[in-house]
Amino acid sequence: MKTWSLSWGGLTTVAALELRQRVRSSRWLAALIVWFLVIGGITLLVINAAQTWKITPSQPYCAAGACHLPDNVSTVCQISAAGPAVCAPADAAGSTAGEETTCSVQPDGSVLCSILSDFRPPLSCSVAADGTAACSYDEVDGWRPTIGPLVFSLVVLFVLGLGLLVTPALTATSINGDRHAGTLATLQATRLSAAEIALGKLLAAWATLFAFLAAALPWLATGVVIGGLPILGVLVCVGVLLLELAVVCALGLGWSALINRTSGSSLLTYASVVTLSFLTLIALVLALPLVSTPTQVQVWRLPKDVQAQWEQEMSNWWEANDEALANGETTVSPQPVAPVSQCHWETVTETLTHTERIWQLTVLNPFAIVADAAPEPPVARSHPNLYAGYSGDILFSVRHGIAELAAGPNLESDLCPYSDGAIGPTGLPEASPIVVSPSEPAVIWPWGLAVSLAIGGLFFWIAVRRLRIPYGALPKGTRVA
Amino acid sequence: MTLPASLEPAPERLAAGPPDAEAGGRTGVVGVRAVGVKRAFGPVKAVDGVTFDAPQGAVTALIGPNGSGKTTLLLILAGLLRQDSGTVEVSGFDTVSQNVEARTRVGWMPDAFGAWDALTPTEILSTFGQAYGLPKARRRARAAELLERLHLAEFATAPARVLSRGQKQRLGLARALVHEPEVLLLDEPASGLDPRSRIELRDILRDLAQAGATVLVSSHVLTELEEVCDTAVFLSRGRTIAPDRTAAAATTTRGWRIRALDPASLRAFLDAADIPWQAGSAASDGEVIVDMASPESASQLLRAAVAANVTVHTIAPVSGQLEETYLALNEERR
Ligand SMILES: Nc1ncnc2c1ncn2[C@@H]1O[C@H](COP(=O)(O)OP(=O)(O)O)[C@@H](O)[C@H]1O
Ligand SMILES: [Mg+2]
Repeated sequence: MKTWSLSWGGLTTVAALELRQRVRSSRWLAALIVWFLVIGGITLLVINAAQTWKITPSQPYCAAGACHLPDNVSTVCQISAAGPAVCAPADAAGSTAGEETTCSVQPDGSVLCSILSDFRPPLSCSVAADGTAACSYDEVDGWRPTIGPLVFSLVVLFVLGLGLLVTPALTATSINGDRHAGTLATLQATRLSAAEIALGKLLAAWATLFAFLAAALPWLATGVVIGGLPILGVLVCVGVLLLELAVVCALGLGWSALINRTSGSSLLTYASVVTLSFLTLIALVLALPLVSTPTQVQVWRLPKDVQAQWEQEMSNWWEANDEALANGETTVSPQPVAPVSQCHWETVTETLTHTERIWQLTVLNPFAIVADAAPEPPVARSHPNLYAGYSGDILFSVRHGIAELAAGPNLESDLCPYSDGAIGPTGLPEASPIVVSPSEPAVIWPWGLAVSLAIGGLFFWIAVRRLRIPYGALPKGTRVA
Repeated sequence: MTLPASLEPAPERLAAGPPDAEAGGRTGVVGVRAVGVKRAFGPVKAVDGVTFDAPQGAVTALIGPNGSGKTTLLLILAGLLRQDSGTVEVSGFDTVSQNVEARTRVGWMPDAFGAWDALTPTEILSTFGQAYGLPKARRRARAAELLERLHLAEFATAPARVLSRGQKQRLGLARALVHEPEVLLLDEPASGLDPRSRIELRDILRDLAQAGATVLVSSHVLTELEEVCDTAVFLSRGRTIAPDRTAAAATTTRGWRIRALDPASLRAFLDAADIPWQAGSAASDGEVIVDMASPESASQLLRAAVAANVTVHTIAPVSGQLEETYLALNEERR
């Protein structure tokens, strides 16, 4: 019982002792400075690269009689000095699918076009009477593409990644190291309880991580401000990140209590971090074949013979018009139209990978947990495809990926050869009978965090048990003092 | 000093209650009481049957050769190690069932004191004061007081890594004294100390005992403890030596230390005269110890030796009975 008693005085004694020792070492300040510079350097490089190479989500630009989207492929407006500007977005193949453009001539003679798309943030382009044009993204649900989410994502990932590297050094030798230095037993012999010693060390290590976070804060704030990210969500994300690192502190503490040699406990702590961060992903990949099973799937398609007949007609048409098309002639016979009214449901057996059975492995991964806890602007809910494509929000992409793993494969597919190709907001052809219910993606981070905290708690418990005095059995080869 | 190690029935122990405010612990309680204590590490029986009382207000020596289990025993007394069997009470508190109560009354100084190298002695002492729950002002005053007392004041603000071994040892003692313990357990405190520091250590221990503390000091160097201890407990192969044996050893004839310029001729003389002798503790300079009943016999022996041209330059009673007892027990070192 006394083992677990905690007092504020006891905790601060141990934590202050640890922190004071840490502060005395000059390497420490150097590490903080290097950390600040590394994260800052990366942030600045990313901002610079994004601007130089017009990586999304930088602004569209107009030059040489045309306005372009930053992907350098799609042209939004063709501007001719003679007549009014023509704004109609076109991709490289010249298709304008899914876009809706409305242009109006303003009283001053300029043309204002608004271009709506399901896959691209809405654009406003204005072409003045003298032919100079300017395009900019419009807001969607309070969001317009900026570099903010990208910067925020990168800083969070770097703080987590480097934090996972630094944290084991804070606790992985703290108990066995003190035992070797002969300072542990004298502390245990005082009034301090085992829990106070263990928790004091944990808190000191955690407080050190706060210093690292503080050093990264200017860069984090850069992302938050540019991106206009919701503050509450940012706090949750950073909080989850710090708790994940606290779990690593506890892992180190547990190993340093279990293993006599400091090199052994360091190794095992790093191995634990690698297991959680990478081996979970490798295990996920290796488990994919295990969940690939023949599954009955509903397919909306033409009956087999009708399909075959239509394919034959199509190939005949291509043969007949091959030369004419190659010569760029436009007067070709109309393409045969598939009898889509004959499409029906068919049950077929396909080998599908049921990721919904193994996606839970990601719940152990600190990167997945932190990404899932990342702030989510409303647009990410209302227009997920748009946000995924244009925000540069890596954390969102990770979350999106996990949600897709969790959802598993589609058990309904649409192979009906529609001729107009219009795509509905769900990404399926508009005429498709498949109804996709807009389900809210599951929130996994509370579960992941709970599992992590349980693991951390277990290792903390081990550390306290190993510090409990009077010692019964001693680990082989250790002396109390 | 009184031998044997006191084993007489202790006065009625008070029921465990709040400790007396005064230094030196609660009245009517034996400082340290060990009964049938055993502790093994795997096959090694480090402590194999230890029974003794260390009274309050006295310095008790814990004497035994290397590996006899002194350190292990002190760890048990300090509440760090659990005995396999037997009971230990410190200031009236059981070290297992009332571990915290016992622990807070004990000042324990390990044989090798590790200091936090980056911290200053002042910081180390006040950290320990804090760990024992002393209020801030008190621990500051206590740290200054102890550093002064142990002649470390000039290093008060230097990092502990600059201290020499002897200075660290003194810091270790100061650390053990921070919370004014009722029971002081010192594991080979004199090792690494220069002669002057040893005398000072002796004075400190005497003062503490005078103030009512229970002081238990372990050592394998006999002369270290001779002048300071009131009682002694002998440990051999993890066992306390039965008090009647130590008593018998103590009441035998007194040993005399004899040294000659030519040790060989001294030994030849003794052999020729058929006088039993044994090598003394300073055997390297040819010292021998001869048991004699009285100073008269010693004087006779001296006269005879000089007459036989043995170049005797020193003859003196063995200074301490501890050493005699120790030798009389003739226990082997492990
Ligand atoms: N933690 C331990 N594990 C194994 N053996 C030990 C341990 N501690 C002490 N011993 C053994 O117990 C015996 C007594 O040791 P110790 O108490 O250190 O003796 P002393 O202090 O009298 O020299 C020795 O033989 C030692 O090797
Ligand atoms: Mg020892």
